[in-house]
Amino acid sequence: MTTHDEVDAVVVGVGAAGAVLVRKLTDAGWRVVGLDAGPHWDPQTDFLSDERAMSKLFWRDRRVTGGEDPIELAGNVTGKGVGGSTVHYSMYALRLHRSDFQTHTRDGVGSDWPLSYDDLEPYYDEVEHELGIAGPVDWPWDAPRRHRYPYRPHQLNGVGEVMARGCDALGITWRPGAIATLSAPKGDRPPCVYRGWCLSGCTTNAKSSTLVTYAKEAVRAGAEIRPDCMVHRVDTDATGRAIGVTYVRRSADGTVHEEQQRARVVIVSAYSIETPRLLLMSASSGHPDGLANSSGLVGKGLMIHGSDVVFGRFPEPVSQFKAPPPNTITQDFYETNSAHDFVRGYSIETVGPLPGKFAQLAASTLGLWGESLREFMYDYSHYAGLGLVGETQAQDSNGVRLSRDETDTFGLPIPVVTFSYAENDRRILEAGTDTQRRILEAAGAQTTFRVSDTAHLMGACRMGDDPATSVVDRNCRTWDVPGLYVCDGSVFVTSGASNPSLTIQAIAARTADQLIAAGRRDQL
Amino acid sequence: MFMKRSRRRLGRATAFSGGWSPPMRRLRTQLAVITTASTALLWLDNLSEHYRGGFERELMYVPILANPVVAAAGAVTAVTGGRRGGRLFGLLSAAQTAIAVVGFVEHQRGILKKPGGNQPRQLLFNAWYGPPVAAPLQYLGLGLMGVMATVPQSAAAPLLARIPVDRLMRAFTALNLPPLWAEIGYLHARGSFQNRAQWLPVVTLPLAGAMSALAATSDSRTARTAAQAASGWTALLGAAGTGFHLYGLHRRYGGYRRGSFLFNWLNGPPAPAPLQMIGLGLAGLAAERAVTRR
Amino acid sequence: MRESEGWEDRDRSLVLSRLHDIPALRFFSPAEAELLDAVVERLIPQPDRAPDHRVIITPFLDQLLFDDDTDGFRKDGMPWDQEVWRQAVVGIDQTSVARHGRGFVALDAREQDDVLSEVQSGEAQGAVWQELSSAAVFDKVVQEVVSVYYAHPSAWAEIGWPGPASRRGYMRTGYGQLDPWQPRESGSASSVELVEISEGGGSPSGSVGGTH
Repeated sequence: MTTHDEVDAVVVGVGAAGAVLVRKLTDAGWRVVGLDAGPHWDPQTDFLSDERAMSKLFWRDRRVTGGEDPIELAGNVTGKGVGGSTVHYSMYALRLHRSDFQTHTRDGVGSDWPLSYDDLEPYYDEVEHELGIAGPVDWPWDAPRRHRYPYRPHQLNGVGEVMARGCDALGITWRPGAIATLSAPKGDRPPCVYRGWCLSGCTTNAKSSTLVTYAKEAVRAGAEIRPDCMVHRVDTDATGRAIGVTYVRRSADGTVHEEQQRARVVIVSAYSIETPRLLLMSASSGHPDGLANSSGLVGKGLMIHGSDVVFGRFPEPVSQFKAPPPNTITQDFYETNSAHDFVRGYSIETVGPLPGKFAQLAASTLGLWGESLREFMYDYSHYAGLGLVGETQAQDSNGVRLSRDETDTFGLPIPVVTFSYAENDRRILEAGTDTQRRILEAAGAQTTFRVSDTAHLMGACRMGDDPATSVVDRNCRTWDVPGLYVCDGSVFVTSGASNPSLTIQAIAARTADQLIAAGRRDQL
Repeated sequence: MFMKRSRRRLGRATAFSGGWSPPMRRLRTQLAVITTASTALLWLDNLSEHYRGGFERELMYVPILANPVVAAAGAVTAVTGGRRGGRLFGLLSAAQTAIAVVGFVEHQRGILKKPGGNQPRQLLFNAWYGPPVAAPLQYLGLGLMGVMATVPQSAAAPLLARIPVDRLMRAFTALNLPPLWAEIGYLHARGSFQNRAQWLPVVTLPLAGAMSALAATSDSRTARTAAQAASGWTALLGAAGTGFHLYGLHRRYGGYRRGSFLFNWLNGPPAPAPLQMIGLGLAGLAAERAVTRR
Repeated sequence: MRESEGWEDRDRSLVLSRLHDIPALRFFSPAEAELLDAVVERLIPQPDRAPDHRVIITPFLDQLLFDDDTDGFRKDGMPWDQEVWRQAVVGIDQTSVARHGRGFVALDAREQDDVLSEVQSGEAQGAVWQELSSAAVFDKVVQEVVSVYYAHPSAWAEIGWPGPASRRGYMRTGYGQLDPWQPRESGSASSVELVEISEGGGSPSGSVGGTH
């Protein structure tokens, strides 16, 4: 087995968080290796304008999804390859609200974060600037912005215009969405051409995935990003300190062999399913329940966003396939409101599935097949869809565990994901989809239908101030294992009702700064 | 027969060039040349923009159809030094000012009709992606310049007796700069001033305008020198801006490649747009030269 | 393929390969493929196309399953996709025999639709459906079939979709605006009545979604 010389840090998963960490630590003079289970894509040769071919961007290894409300996995929530799911995410780049960090204090639900909005604010600014987020001139919802978005908003597409007109009619505030695709050139990246294939990978590099931003810059700065490496164990020494990772590496000729990478610091950034899976797979005699799991919370408290979509048919072509699907947004229903029969709330955003996905959604939801399906699809370009981002509450019964009897191609136990909505989550879903329908009808929809959907993963290794009720501290350092950090969406304490990517990246940027400072004090 | 033709030519020349001093005749010819060239370039820009907008309203065809006729009359006027086509060019130029005013009003209505149009905070966003606010006013400037190039001496004399032509031209330049400045300003803001050079016209055009305005009211040598420099700078900005916009097209995905170029031309930085600054700058310089020769 | 002028070369090759390189059967037996062809014919009827111009679907399903190019996850209680498809073929034939006394391939179109409706309802007769939700299996089958169908260029013009968009994108993005390279709609507005069969409960097979 090849053992690579010790580096300062090894980052497992070069996605939304991992790429930020690799880049920032390398810039600070650290020797860093980033390991990713998937390929290192070149968008200009690897990405096609084809829904089926581009499913290769998704994490499609064997997994089981269960519970009362099983989560849709694969395409929806996780990515494989450098850039992770930011390569195919819908690009809404939103901040959490101040209240999201204190739901326990304010609303009596969930737990408070060990971080406040103010702790993250400078990092939100930093990441937005680095990615070149295009957003509205003013942000009418929480939190108040100190700085304008670095780039101006994109033009409305048909769905955005429908949503805007519906909101105008109902007195709901809307804004062009803050999204991670360029509205003007940035360095060698061109502005968006509105081709609308964002969820299948961007061929132009206008989309600010971490693949073409942080990861690219990290390599330029001297970091090593090693693709096709599936990490299956975090190694610890006799004192219990993390000393590196062991992984299987797939070579270009298809052969597979095991390697080790030694590092002073191990950072796991593999997202809410693979991160807990890796910690659980790293169980040893010293850690029979898995690494960093003295709280028993590794793999627990998984959250998603209730993401039902309501589609409406309009008399004129909407051309929902044009321009980035994320186009307009409202967060008027984000905060707890005593007039509601639930606490916390939701955002409403435009969506724009391509024909294959739209046909699947309609066929499944409406039970259409045969001539009626083909006839229904004639109206494809007349439909506009509004999606929900409904907050869910962390429940210990929702989460990730290892399968007892099923293994993947490497012989590793596959993850079993369990999810059920809580009552409050369901009420948010009902209220949200009702608002979505009202907006579409106010905009002149002739008919509507609702599709159930889920999106985003958050939690399963949450952060906190108390080792008994959290897996990592506010700086993403595991309570139990010196030298081991967890930094990705799995440290979320609450889900908020904003797409999580920007917050994941802000947390990673902050963690990098904390690591750099700790390194200077020799307190890693 | 030869005599007859030349007499007729002379007759027309009397109506439009007669009475003007040679430097003034030259100035008017230069104005006709600048107006014609600018009109033709503006047509290209106008066509791209209205095509991009899908000619959603029939009114959008009006400038596209009218403009070549104006340019043709202007070309004839310019080539013949005002001996032919002058009257028609003058009339058409007057009509063009009317088109400009209607277009301006319609563009504002187009912006207000967009979603959120009743909310002041959405106005800027709608202006960014609606019909360009001040674009039709470019036709106003060109129309006026066309009129200036063709107006008979008898009609212009009372005005010129009170205000010398160079100061008139300064005033004209000063009046044309604010809409152009506004247009450049909000469109470069939409581009987030991603290239620092985008600030250049935004910062310096008001100064150039102020200098022209000053020279329009004062005959002092300093004011005239400053206005001269400002006109030269404006023309230079126009040339540099065109270069930057062409570079901007190259930076877009696909750049100048076949199958991408037309799309990028329509959606990228408008390459012909900065040329208006060349036109304005040259008009200012021409006025100064006419005066010097006086 | 006139529209393909603005496409990337690699997109054009992919689309052309879908027209001309039909994969050989490796996963399904000839009998299974024959039954699936009959099912596909009812799920996506193509009476408007001559037989040699129809969108071919079954070989692409075969390729997907043989290469294990699936979404990779299964809903708790459902088998892996390969097994779902094997069972689907057996189950549809069982329902067919139970209701009409003959195998699915031997039925006429009306009878075949009756069998498929029965399977879709989740109340289908047949030994397979004692263990497996026929509704969930039906959902899985329909979704994969429509995905293959709408990946074929022949299906694009009829829904007013121009297909790949790279390097060129779109410029007239507003409501009611059409780009010059957008196909004009051929069909009239659909009169299909929309009834949500799975409101709030997720799709029966747990494999749809992914819009944002």
